[in-house]
This record gives sequence, structure tokens and C-alpha cells, in this order.
Amino acid sequence: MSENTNKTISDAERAARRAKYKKKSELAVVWRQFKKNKLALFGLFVIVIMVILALTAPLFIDFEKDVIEQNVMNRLQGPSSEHLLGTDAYGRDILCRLLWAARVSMFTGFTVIAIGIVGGIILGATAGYLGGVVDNLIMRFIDIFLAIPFTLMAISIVATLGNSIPNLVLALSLALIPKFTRIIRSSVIGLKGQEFIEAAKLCGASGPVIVLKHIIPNALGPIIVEATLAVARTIIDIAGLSFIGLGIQPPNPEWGAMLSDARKYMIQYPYLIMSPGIAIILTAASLTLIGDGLRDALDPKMRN
Amino acid sequence: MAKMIGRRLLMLIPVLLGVSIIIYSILSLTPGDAATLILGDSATAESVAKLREELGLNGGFIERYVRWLSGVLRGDFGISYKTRNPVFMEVFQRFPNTVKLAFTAIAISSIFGVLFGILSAVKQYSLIDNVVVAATLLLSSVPDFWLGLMMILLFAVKLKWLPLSGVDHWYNFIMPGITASAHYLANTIRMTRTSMLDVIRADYVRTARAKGCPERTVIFQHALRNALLPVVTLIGVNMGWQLGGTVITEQVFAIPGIGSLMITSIRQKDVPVVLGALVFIALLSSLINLATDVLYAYIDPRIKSQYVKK
Repeated sequence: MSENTNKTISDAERAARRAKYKKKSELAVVWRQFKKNKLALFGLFVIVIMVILALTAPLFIDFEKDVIEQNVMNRLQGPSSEHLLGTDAYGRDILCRLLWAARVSMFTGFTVIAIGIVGGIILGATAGYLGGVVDNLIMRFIDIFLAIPFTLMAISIVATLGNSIPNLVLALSLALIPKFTRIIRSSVIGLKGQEFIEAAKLCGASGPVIVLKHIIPNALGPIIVEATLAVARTIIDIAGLSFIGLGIQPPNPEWGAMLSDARKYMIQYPYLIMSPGIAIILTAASLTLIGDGLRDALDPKMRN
Repeated sequence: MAKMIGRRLLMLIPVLLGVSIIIYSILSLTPGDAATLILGDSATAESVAKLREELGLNGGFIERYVRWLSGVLRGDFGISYKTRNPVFMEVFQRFPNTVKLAFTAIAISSIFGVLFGILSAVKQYSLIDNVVVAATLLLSSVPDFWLGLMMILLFAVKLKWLPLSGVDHWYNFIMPGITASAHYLANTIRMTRTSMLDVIRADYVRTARAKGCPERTVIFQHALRNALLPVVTLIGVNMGWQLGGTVITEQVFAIPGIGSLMITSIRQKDVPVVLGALVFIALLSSLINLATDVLYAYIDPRIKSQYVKK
């Protein structure tokens, strides 16, 4: 009996080691392909720098003093050596607010995507794996959500539940779940009939184990690509909702909210609307470049 | 074909019912009593009760929903809390502006999207292609409202070529149209380019070249017709989304359309108007999607034959 147990453990260990080895080499192949794409590397570089700046912002920016506190004496000063990007209508340093806004946008953006993916995996995998009536029910439900234009849906959710970051996240992830559900469902259906899934079934693996351990890892490629592109879109959408006053509320800094504040003064002080806009473009464009680069790197057809 | 359209129309019913239930439930979560909101805190309990009766606010959730739905089926979307006008009238008054804006945007994104997409695919890796690809990236990353603000600064304030706002002339819709089309234009260029590149490498295109067809005939007669199929679907989907997606553009250019009606109504907690506008747009975009699918089946004989056999 004990010998038998030992054997199973070592088998499991070997399998784990093999899986680890395989994963590493797969990652290495993708990275090697990704590296060839200079634009995608540039995008990755920009995003890594932004993430580092966003994470370390509290070390060199004091939220209360630099981001929130108003200083009317300094209002609407153009770019100078003291305020690199100038100050806004309340005398706050735009660069500080811009950096803090990166924290807000990225945190919200990544949370939305995480919820969207988890929701998509639960619904998509259930629909794809079980098929039949369950599949039909879930997909019809998804169709209903897809029939409501997304901006309107998000606006009505935020408007009824109130303006807050959790409600904004809820509204935006509800808009993403249908999309991820569709992608994951189609990968699951594609993989379901393959031999290694049959083998896992014969070994006695249960439905959830098969889906989580065997199907999802194999479907991860398209999910990651879509997720990267969706972060870019979500960051633009957060800015759009904040711009019309339904997202992140002042005095909290957010790129769209900053643009909304600056709008009143933009004719006399055009510099006010330049920097937040450029920050959004830079972030969204970099994420798109990474997404496109990953798509090519993951595509076996492009490897030759 | 008629059978297919009929079946799709039938399938629309549960979807729209679902849409209305979801929107109705979300909006019924709005805090505060509408009658008190309209009459103010100083109103007597009697008049509040009377108004509640008038607005159909009494009864349980299901009862209210059924009453509202049966009204909608008769074309009665209720009355606005604020103006006391029928919601249908409020929505319909604003509707032409949204439609004009949406169609300007669709026209811009479809025409230029297909044009640049083809150009970029036919001249792959050339300077033009690189410029188009870079512009596509920029267009898909720019926040549309920011693009609108920048255009206002340049064309309305600095050069004074176009008016800041207004809806009375066709040129009022140039800047809003470009603003609302930016992301769709990027999508259409991308899709046309990819689809064209796929087709150009297909065997039948090679055959056409091999038998000596002039390049122009190959591109326009053989390649383009097939390459445009997925683009047509994309344009249809865009059209549906565009009708609901003009909210932000309407805010930037102060266009009195359905989007700005919704935003004002949300601020005033005028639930029937928000509800009516949302359901109206959902219905419209579903119908447009259906029309696209029919058109798609019509231009692609392979899909048409699927339905004929059944």
C-alpha cells in the first residue's frame, strides 16, 4: 500500500515537473517571437515604466498635498521648470495628478478585466463544456446583454447605483463578460473533442478539473490577447465616462475627469487638455501594440 | 429567405423581453420616491398618493413591469416626470439629431475605412501601408471626446472654419461625425486590410492573375467582392452600436440628441425617459443587426443556400 502511494506521488511529481518544463519552453518560444516585434517591445517598455511609476507614485507624491490641495495663487500657470506640465484651474500640479491618475486608471482597468475574464471563464466554460440546454440558456442570456449598446448600459448602471469606483468596475465588467464568454466558449468547444481530454476523462477527472486544468491552459493564448486589447479599450471607456461626469469623481484625479475640468478653460489655456489626452493615447496604443505582438507570437503560422 | 427573416424576427422577441426586464430592474433600483421627488418635500401625503397613482408607481415590481410593458406594446412609453410630456415624444424629438450624427459617422468610417484598408493591403509594406497602419493605431487609441476637443480648438477656435456647435446645417455634423467615427474607422480599416490580404493570397486570385487578368480587374472583380463580406457585417454591427454610442460626442458638441436627453434625464432622476430611450435604442440596434444578417445572406450565396435547403 505504502509503495503504491509513493509511486503515485512520484508520478504526480514527475508530471508536475514535466508540465513546468513544458510551460517554460512554451513561454520561451512566445517570448522569442515577441522580441522580434520592435513595436510590441516598445509598447511593453512604456507600460512597464508606467506601471512602475504608478506603483511607486506614493513614494514621491503626497496625495493630499500634491494631488488634492488647491492653491489658487498658482492657478493656470503654463509649463515651467517648477511645474513641468503646468498647473490646473485650482493651482494643482498637472504632472502629479497625471501620475496619480495612471494609478487609478490602471487599477480600475485591470480589475475590470480580471472580473471580465473570471466571469467569462465561468460562463463560457460551462456553456461550452456542458452544451445542450445549459449552453443555449447561457448564450441567449449573453445575446440579451449584447443587444444593449455598451455605453448606454454602463451609463444606466452607474447612474442608478451611484457614482463610485466599484459601480464603475461593475458596469464595465458586465460589458466585457459577454465578449470573453464567447471567446472561451468557442475555444472550449474546439478543445473538448480532442484526445487528451478523452484521456483525462478516462483517468476519472471530473468536469471542473478537466476544464480548469486541461482546457483553460490551452485556451489561454486568445484570452490573453483579447484581455490586453480590452484593457486599452477599458481605459478609454473609463476616461469617457468620467468625462461626462459618470465615472471617477473630482477631486480624485483621472485622465477623463481632468479633461472634463479643463474643458472650461481650454480655449485660453490649451495646454490643459494636451497632457491627459496624450497620456491616454500612449497607454492605449502601447497596450494595443503588446496585444498585437502577443497575437502574432502565439500564432503558430507566424513562427516559420 | 422570408422564412429566415421570420425566424430571426421571432428570435428577437425573447431577446427584447430580456433587455426590457434587465433595464427595468436596473432602473427600478434608483433610490428615492419619484412622486416626492417631483412635488418636493412640502407636498401633502394626499397629493403624493394621487400622483403615485397617476404615474403608475403603485403595486409590486412585477405588476408595475407588466403594466409598463403593456403600455410599451401599445406605443405608450409613459410620461416624463419632469416635463409631463409622453416619453415617446421626448425621444422622438431628439431622435433625428442622433440619427444624423450616427449616419455621418458610419458613412465616414465605412467609406474611408474600406478605401484605406484596400490601399494598405494592395500596397502591403509600402510607405502608404505603414502610414495607414500607424494612423489606425492612433485612431483606435485616441479617446474620441479628446479628438473632438482638439478639433474644436483647431477648426472652430483657431481657424474658424467650422462652427462650435449647432445642428441646423450639414457642416455642423462634420466634427461630431469624425469624432464619433474614430474608433469605428480604425476597426474598419483593420478588418478590410486583413480580409483583403487573406483574399489576395487565395488560389483563385492567383489563377486570375495567371490567366492574364489585368491587376485592376483582379483586385476589384475577384478579390474585393470576397474581401468585403466580413466588412459588411462589421459595418452593420457598428451601425447598431453607433446609435447608442454617440452619447459622449453629443456631450462634447452640445448636440440635443438621445444621448444628451439620457444624461439630463439621469441627472434629474427622470426614470421613464431613460427607460424609454434605452429600450428604443436596443430595439433599433437589434433590427439593424437583423438587417445586416439578411444583407449578408443576400450577398454571400453560400449562406443563402444554407437557408434555402432547410
